Amino acid sequence: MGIVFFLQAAREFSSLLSTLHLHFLKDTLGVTQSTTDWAVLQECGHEPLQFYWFRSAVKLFNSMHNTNSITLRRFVQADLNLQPLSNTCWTALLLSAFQGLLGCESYV
Amino acid sequence: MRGVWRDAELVDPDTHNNKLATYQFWFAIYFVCNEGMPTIVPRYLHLDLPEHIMRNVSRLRLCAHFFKVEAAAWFEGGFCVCDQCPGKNENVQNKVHALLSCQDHWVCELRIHFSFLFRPNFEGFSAAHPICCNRSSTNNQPVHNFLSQQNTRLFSFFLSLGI
Repeated sequence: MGIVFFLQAAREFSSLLSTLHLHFLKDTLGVTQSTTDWAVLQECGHEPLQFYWFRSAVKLFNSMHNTNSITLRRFVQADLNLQPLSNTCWTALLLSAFQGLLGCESYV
Repeated sequence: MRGVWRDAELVDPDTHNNKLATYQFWFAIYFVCNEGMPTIVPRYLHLDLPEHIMRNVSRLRLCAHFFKVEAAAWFEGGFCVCDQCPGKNENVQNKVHALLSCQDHWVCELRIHFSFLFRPNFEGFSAAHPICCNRSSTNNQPVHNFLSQQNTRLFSFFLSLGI
């Protein structure tokens, strides 16, 4: 499951790395750890790490889909075919991360 | 992710004690939609301010201060009426109240000392009447202008308030 678990909606601050990121920002600003996470990110001009992970995962998927390698394309196609049957395949996990996005129906 | 801010936009910070909505209403600088553009951060983060001043400004902006409205959010049945104002005025002690309209003698003295910060934004402000009470729910522009002014002495005023 790995990183895709942390891409799902309402899990923006679930990972240890996100917690450390926010601790660092709050320490730098000198505010208490109870300060609202979203406000701290906005103040520092940062997006949640989830945003960057999500973008990287989609980029990886797109580049695998458009690759020259026939083997890799077959692998992606097999994973896509597996998606309706299994919730644990990579495509299914990635699609579950789209849930919660505004207008997600148009992407899935 | 943007949904968090869209929801906060719908909440009135005057009627709901919501930190995110308060921050969004008074201070938030929106992310630039174009990814190629650099992100905008508040001006005070660009300045070489002493650590304690920066901490003070951050605490005020991010609602991590010691005003009654913040304490009331943590304790059930917390009392958020200003205990500094003389008389029986029942004003909620939030940051706007403390900065602009608290009638405590010492805070009024401070406003007179830093009057150059108030005069350009509040017409009725004077040494005889150092209270900025022309704020209404329909016109928050003077307060926005006051909070976003480019004068570094504004941070000294925040520091003097002991937020």
